[in-house]
Amino acid sequence: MKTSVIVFPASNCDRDAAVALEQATGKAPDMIWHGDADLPATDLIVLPGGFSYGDYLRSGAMAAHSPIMRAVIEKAKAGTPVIGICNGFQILTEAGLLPGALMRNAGLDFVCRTVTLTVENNQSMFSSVFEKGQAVNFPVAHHDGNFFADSETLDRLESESRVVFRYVDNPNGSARDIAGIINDSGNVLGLMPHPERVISPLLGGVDGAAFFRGLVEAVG
Amino acid sequence: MLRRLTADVLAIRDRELQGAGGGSMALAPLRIVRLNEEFFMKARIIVTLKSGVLDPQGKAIEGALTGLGFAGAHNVRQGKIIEMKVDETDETAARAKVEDMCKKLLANPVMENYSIELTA
Repeated sequence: MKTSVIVFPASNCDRDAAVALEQATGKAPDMIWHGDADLPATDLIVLPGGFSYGDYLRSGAMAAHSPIMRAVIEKAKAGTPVIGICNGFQILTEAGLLPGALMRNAGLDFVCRTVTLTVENNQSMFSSVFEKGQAVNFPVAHHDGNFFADSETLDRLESESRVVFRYVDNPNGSARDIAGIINDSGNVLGLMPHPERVISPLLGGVDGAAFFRGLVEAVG
Repeated sequence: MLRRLTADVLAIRDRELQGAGGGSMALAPLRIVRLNEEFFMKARIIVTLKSGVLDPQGKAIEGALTGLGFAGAHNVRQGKIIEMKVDETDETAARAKVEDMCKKLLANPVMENYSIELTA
């Protein structure tokens, strides 16, 4: 299985994502610079966390228009699985691949701690390894993770089971405690917490290892 | 007269840029245009959070103002202002261009509104 990690200027979780993918697939991912126009053949694309373009204008706003994003959007629309983690989630909403927006945290604090999430939907390729209702622990580290969408969009996300992860104790003011959502075709996931940071007991947890292992099994 | 000339030159440049590859000929009018920059429109774009969208920064500012003893400051909202020169001499064309910029990048319609002020 071939995977790709997109590297933007000021991505800082790209190498963590690469280690997590290599652990799950046995093969190092292709690291793709944001300025490239083409993606190599790939079965899974990860937009990593970080502070692309210094969060100028709005988090993810500039990165969403990077040259590589044209290819990412094309692949996503053709069904290739795409995960956006933290800044990657912000980029996916700015690029229009996921609905809503990530606003400044309600408490204005940069929140950096491990949070517990409930797996709301275990029918997605990103969560089939978990039980429905299972609690998983992933760290968060963000200033702009306050998920916002109008109530009509939120109702649609809920009724279509597109809320995959929900915070048990909401750290940032996100609407309806939403931590992670998928697109309507189910092949694009955005989440603020960082599964790639908990892939070994040495790093304080293994729920992220299960996340990537399950995803690799589901994608095949 | 100069304003008219600037508009003509911009039209020529646009035609050339749309032409095959915009070869070396396209560079000459660009140089002339720079001389007449004073006739370009100035745009000021004001981006605000939509009403109803929680603004934690505005709230913090309101709290700080109250702490400083400024009674009676309510509903403080923080936004941003973006200023630029647009290489158009015609207001309608300038507005259309800036509208497009707002839709594609400068504002996020999920949570923000924008308004555009143009001056010659």
